[in-house]
Amino acid sequence: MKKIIRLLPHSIYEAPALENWLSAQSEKGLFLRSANGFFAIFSKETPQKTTYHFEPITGMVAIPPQELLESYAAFGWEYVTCISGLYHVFVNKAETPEPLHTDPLVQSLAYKKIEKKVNNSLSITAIMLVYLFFEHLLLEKKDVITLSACIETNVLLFFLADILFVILLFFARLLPCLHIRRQMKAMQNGSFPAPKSSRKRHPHSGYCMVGAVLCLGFMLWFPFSLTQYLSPEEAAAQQGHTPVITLEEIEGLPPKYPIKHTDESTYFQDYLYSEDSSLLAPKQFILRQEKTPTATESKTSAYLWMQYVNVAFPALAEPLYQEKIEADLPEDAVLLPSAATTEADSLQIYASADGTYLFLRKDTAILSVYHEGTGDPVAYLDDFLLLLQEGEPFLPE
Amino acid sequence: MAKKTLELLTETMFYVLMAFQKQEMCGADIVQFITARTNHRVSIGPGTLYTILAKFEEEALIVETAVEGRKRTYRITEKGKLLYTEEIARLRACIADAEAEMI
Repeated sequence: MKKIIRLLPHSIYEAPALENWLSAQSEKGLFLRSANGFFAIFSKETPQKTTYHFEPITGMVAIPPQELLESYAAFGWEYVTCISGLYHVFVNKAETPEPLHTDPLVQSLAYKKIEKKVNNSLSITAIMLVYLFFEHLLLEKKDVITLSACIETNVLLFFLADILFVILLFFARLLPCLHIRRQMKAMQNGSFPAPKSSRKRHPHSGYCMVGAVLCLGFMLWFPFSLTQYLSPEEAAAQQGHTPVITLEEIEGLPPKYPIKHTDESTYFQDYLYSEDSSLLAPKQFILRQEKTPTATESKTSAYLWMQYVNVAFPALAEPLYQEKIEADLPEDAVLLPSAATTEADSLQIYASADGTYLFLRKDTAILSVYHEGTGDPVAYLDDFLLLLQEGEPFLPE
Repeated sequence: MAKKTLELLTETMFYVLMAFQKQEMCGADIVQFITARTNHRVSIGPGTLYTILAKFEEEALIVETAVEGRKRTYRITEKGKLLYTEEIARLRACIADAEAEMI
């Protein structure tokens, strides 16, 4: 027996339209064998006029009870298949089949479960969208991520795909609700099933879902298609640079990832983005400093927040890594004027009389070195800058 | 929403509920009862019947009492009896109103 697969021309939630379409297919010799939300499998037989009926599944199990099957069979309706856990499909080959339903209002009750299901689905999607919206707003407010940053970092396509994904997903949930409500209203008005002459096509929610899946696929593929967001190491290697020294070679450095900041006296560095396959642009590395003097202790602490944001998926942006690093500075720690110590405005040095220095490089947030020692802080600064120079291939531009 | 729907029983729903007043019944018995009681005036399709039974069971108006082979038997609950009584009172009021307006 030859099997033929056809794409469903209507949404699975438009039962009358699908019933009419299946009846039309049977007149061409195609008889339904099985189906899902997108495809129907037919067997090729002698053309015969048949009538199809989609009965919403009201029970918990997708298998119709034998008693129900026998009752339907007594009216000439044979069971064909179950579609997507939503309907039992019956077929009747009689010229004028006995109707399965004699009360339109009761028939509309049968659709309640499907209505509830699609409503729940829509509600979940709506909650998700509201969450994403506010999260995005929050992140923008905190300057963690901005649309302009996305554009600058050349991920506008990704941003658009993200927006499109959300819109399509929403419509994929909304359209079934509209279809079901329209049908239930038609049933309650006694005009169900839809007349066969009706050729009106409604948007296919399945296509929206396919579009959403394509967008998601694009978003998953996109990061791998980019080269400009190679890790600094990879970028340097591509440009033919050979590192003189890598930070890993410096004794006492903690592992790259995850960062385990255990000892304040050790060097602290992070190349998290080089380990992560997601899209991360240097500008999305944010370092925040906060000095919090406490009332009880004349002690100043510096807190660092390093936030790594997945700019590839702005609506879902969230810090990939966030760690509060508390570096207790001595009481007499002062912020040295950068002009006095370095030409790099972005470099801040805290120094104390006991020779404890905290070097912070603000612009890249790549390095923070907590160095203990004595002597002239400028000497340490030179070491630090030398370190930066030697490690230049590893730093983002 | 579901409860709101059952605040007003349709004619077929009312007859299905009526069928359980004196005894427990299965689907086939209900069809026979309605056909006999209404003298074929009210017909009930199997789709309608099983939708009503599922809905009534969900609303606890009836409960399944026995499953013998393929036959499922149900009986009415107190809640079902109360709804049936209320519906009769409503219909009586309707009839009284209608008769009062007759010339």
